[in-house]
Amino acid sequence: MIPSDLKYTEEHEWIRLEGDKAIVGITQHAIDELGDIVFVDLPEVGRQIGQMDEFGSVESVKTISSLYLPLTGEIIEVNTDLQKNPMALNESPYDDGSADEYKSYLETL
Amino acid sequence: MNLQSTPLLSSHQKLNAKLVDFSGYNLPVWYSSLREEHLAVRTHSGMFDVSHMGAIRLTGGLVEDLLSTVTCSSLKKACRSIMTYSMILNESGGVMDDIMMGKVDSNEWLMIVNASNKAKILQWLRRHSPSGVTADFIDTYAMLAVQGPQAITHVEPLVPEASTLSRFEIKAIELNGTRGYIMRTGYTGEDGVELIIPGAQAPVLFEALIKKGVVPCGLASRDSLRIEAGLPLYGHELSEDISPLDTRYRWVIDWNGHFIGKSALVEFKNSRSNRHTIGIRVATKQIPRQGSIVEDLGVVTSGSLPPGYDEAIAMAIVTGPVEVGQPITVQIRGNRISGTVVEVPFKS
Repeated sequence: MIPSDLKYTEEHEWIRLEGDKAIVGITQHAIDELGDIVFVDLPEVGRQIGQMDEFGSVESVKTISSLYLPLTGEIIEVNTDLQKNPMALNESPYDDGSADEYKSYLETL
Repeated sequence: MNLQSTPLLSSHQKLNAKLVDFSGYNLPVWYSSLREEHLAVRTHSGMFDVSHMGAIRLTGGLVEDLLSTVTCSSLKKACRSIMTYSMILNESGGVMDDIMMGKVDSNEWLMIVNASNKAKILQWLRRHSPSGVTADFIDTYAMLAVQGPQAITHVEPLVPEASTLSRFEIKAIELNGTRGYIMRTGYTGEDGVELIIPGAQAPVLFEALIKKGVVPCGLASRDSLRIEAGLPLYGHELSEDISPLDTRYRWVIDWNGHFIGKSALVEFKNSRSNRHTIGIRVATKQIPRQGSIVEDLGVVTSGSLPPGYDEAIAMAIVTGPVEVGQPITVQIRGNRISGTVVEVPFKS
């Protein structure tokens, strides 16, 4: 299921806008292309990142894919669980089953 | 360039395989996931469409003269229908390809070559062939590798010869009145067989094996399985800039033989501080990939994180003496990661 309340980029990131915050993740399509995820490299909290700048990477056994931020902002939170369990992305790239936790990170606009 | 398809393409599509361009062939990279497919081969059985590999049929009275000139190994076992791993070298001792070869019957030999080297090797064999020797691809065939501890059990009801083969043995088979081959070989570190069968019969056999519980596997798990087993891949652990002396397969060299590249090998052996291929393990799940630097020692040739591993593994080609347990530092995409030299095959 592709959630309809999200916005999507051509680089296969998704964005959920929540006031002056946004949650960003990668799509099921991106996961299908990568296969089994082994490592997720996410930015530090507090980092300022410009629109379409590379902010991290997702690595599968097959390949490494850079992540590009669809908007300008400051990182306010990252999903640190992904560093321990990167395969969680394969199971559910849009959320981890609970309503308010997402597999990506938050930033202020 | 148009992608070539194997006789099993429609079978792969029916299974919703994810297809990629591999050496010009449209082949599955996985069907379900690398993890499931890798573990299927390690715990019961999996199968791979390897029809992109080149199978060269050699005939003529002087085939053995050709093979003892162009390969660096003894033909003693190959003459007894035991598929023999060897390398074809250029005049400078560099590896042109790594191959399997064996005598099928009194007038026929088979050589399996890498997809990426097909044209080069066929041309090389023909160039060095004594008169009367023919070398041709058997290209209307499919090649299927069935691998894992239960591979033989599953193949045997469909191809009875499977259970009669000794390790590495090759036999000609008849499948619905057409000729094929079966050999007890593979590229995963597990027991199993590789079948060369007429393309038209391949989908039926493939689907019958699935019904028996053999898991179709893609190229991604083929790579993680061969890396875990420490097996070399041409273009990674082997190239024309690498000699057999630099590999974990020095034993392929028959120093009593008279083959192309031997004088260069003799010279290397006596003069050059030889390189070695080693196994390393790093303290991260980030995979060292081909080209990653092993500080002060050399360079990574292949890396992976097979299922069940908390730390990535890699093979590297290094200069100078290196011991198992020795600490190393690998540069992985800008990070300096500590690691250790480990035994190959790798263990999780």
